[in-house]
Amino acid sequence: MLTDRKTRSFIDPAVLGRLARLPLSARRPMLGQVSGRHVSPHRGASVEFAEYRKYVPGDDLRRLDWRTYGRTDRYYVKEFEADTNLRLCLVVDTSGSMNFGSVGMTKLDYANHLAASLAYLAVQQGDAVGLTCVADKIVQSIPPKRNPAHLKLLFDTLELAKPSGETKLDVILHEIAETVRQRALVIILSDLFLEPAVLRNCFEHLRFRHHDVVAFHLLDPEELSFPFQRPTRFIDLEGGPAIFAEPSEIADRYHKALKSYLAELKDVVLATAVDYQRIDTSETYESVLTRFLIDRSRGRGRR
Amino acid sequence: MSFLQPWLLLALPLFLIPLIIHLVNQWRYQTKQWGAMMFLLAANRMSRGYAKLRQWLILAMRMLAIAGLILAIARPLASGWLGLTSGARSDMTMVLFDRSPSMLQQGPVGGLSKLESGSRQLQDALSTLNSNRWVLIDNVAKLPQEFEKVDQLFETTRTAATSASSDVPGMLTQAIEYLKLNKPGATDIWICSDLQESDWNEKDQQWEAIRDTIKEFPQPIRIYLVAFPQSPANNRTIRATDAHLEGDERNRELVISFEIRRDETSNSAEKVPVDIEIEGVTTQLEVDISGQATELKDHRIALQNGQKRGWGKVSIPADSNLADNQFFFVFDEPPARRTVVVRQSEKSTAPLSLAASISPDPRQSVSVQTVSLDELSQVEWENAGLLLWQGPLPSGSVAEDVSAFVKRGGQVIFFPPDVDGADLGVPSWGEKSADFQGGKWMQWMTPDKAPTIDQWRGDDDLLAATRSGTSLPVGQLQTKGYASWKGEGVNLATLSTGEPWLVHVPTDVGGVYFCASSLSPETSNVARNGVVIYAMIQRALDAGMGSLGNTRSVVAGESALAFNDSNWQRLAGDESTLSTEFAYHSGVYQINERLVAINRSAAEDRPTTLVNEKVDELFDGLDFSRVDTQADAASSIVQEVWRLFLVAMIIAMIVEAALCVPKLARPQGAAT
Repeated sequence: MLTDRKTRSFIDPAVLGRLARLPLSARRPMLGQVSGRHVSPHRGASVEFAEYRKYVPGDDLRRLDWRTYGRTDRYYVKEFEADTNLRLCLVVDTSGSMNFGSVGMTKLDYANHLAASLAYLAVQQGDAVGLTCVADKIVQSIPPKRNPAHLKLLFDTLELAKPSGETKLDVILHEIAETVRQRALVIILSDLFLEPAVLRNCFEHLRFRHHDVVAFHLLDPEELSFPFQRPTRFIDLEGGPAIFAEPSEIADRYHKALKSYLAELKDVVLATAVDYQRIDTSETYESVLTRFLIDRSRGRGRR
Repeated sequence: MSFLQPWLLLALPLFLIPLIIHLVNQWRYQTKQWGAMMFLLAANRMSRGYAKLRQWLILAMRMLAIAGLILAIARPLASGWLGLTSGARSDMTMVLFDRSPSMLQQGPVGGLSKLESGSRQLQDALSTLNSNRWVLIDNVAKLPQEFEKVDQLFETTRTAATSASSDVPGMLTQAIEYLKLNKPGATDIWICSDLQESDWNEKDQQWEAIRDTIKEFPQPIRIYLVAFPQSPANNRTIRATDAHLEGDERNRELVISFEIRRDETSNSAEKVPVDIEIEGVTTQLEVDISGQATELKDHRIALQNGQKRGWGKVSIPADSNLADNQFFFVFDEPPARRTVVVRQSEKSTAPLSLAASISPDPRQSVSVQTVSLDELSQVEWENAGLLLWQGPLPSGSVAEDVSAFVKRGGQVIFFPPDVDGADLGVPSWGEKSADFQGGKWMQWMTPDKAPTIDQWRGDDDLLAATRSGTSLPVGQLQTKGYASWKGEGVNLATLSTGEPWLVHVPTDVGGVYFCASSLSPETSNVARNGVVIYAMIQRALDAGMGSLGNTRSVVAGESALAFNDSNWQRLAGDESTLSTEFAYHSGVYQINERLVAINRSAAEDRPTTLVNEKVDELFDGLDFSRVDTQADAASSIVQEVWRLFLVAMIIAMIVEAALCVPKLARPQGAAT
């Protein structure tokens, strides 16, 4: 499947081999260009029966169901589901804050693992995959394509992605919502360090465009537990002002702020029907993806 | 607050260790690249009052715990002292104990007297402070006595109550002399007193010398005053002002006058029962009191069997001071007021004889014997009270006779020799002439302008003002000529030329006076203006008569020297008094054939205390500390309170631990 032989740090063939048995499904009908594994909003010529419809002049006579005519003496047309492929838009946050990691890899590394694996799985099942690296602006954008050779470009882009700059994810998401054609699977890989109210607007915009939105919320264990003891000067990875803090004094309020943020974010994703995946980067990406794909295949995403 | 181990306070800065650690910890901060700044910013925006307070509380508790530990091991003392003492154990501790009657005043609650309370509090305090040597000086013996242990100091009878007044400057002078003699190291002088004005005698010349001497000592001298300035309310005193016999042998009566005083806060009229006891027979009467003082004059009590001599006491019910509720008196047929006038010339001594022969009490017999210098062998010294000597000062055997007369208690007033005498100047006139008790006439002075008397002591001695407060007309006296005098004595009156006019030469008993004016009308108007000379002679005669007769009333303490070698027998008074201290305790004593009534001084009935400013002035420039306490104070003036600091340290540690305990529900779960 992989067309290049170059070893990528974020690609583990063994993991991909195990994940390949699980389909990447969309929760909503997708609009693809070719036949695929996903449900289309239109009727087609698959073997999957959809419904009976009254004949109207102009319908292809070959699709009349004569048996039904024989039973009811009325003309009905037998319709079948259409199968299509999907466009997977991977949105990877490459802002400065993604450069943080206490478990041997940064959040960006973790995002790269997820993005590369998902891209591989999507291309493998004939879906088109695009990639957008965002920070304070769109750093790199690759339109969705479904040929396996496209993966090389994606992987190269991921490999070259450097975390820097502020997060302007909200602006970029609005832009993506407008530019990506309707009914795509949009997977956001970010630490989502934005106000939940701002994210709500972005998600609603994407939902309005009938995109199936997945948010992988990447959080480092240190960001969750804030385990510091000594007085610490925290330097903003996104270039903001540094903060000097006594952890024992500020920890309570940090946890309070974090808890409040996560609660608000949960409300947002429930309201906007976003498939929200909170990831502790100490967890292996394989188990994260396995859980994600299984949930998807059952037709329900975690919200 | 003071400390027994103050050098340990040098470690007190160690209490800053937690703060230093905190600052070092702050200084050794780590730098962390951080992504989730939005939560830190949010945390910073949140109210952090409690968290900040908690941090500072933890820090404060840690500092408090260390400070508490250091202070506890420095052995702090709870006391009224302001500031820290040098704290080192003193080499010598001297206790100056005021045992005067006013120290028997009880506190408002009653129970302990100032004396008992002071003794107990001082014992507690000194036991705590400790010292190498203990010395006691009391107001009776005044001689320093050294003790091995502090407990012995307060177990001795020298800290028990007496009727004698105190002389605080005198005791301090004794203490200084002892310090000079023994040269100890650092010395603490503790004074326990009720600050009574008469005991402290703030105008005494000794105070300045005391201050100067103490300042000059090379070793540190610290003075501590345990003061009982509060006077109890509702205190009454009684004092017999007169007790004499009247009537013949068949109908003999004792005529007694006494005075009852109340403290200044009592103004309402009341009846006070007064017991008059005469040799065991008690008569009771009620006296109405309306003002501060009431005097019952000439109360007559019939005596049985024509009693001519005896003793008694007047007493009132117990109140807040038990020492001033009774007063002893003795009575006897008064001896004749006998005066001996020795004359060189008749015109100078005639006024003296005249003044001596007029008794203020017409009932008393008066006798004046006038002799010339050649007839001195005829004088009966034994039954004379006053000697008026005009002429050259006595010498040889005559001087010995006069000295014996003075030593017995007689009074002598010397007047200068005649200026027109044939042997003027030799041998009893001038630098080489004979002296008496260190005083001698020098030269007859006749200034152009007759000098007057500018200054005289109107508060005491022969020229004191009358009882009603009217001054004697001493200022009206004028003398054309006077004899200059040389010697050591107390100037009772000073001429406008600066020379003394009347000098009192101090003697242990008796009285020796020198008057610079001749009474001849050519040289002065002293005889013509006879009021002053009459008062002088009668007062001296009164004092001299005290040594005659078989009864005598004296002030406690002042009788010690007069009856030093006598055989004392107690007839009335406190049974617990040691015989060696009879002279200092009120009561009636028989000394050979004489009855002596000993009572407290009149000043003890007027408990005026020194104001704080005056006390501070007296110890100005000295290392002086003072604590005011009261008679029934239960707490010790100096108390070790290290337990309090230890408890404070433990509390601080518990609070610190409680503040440091992490919350049971860590918000860590919020992220999962």
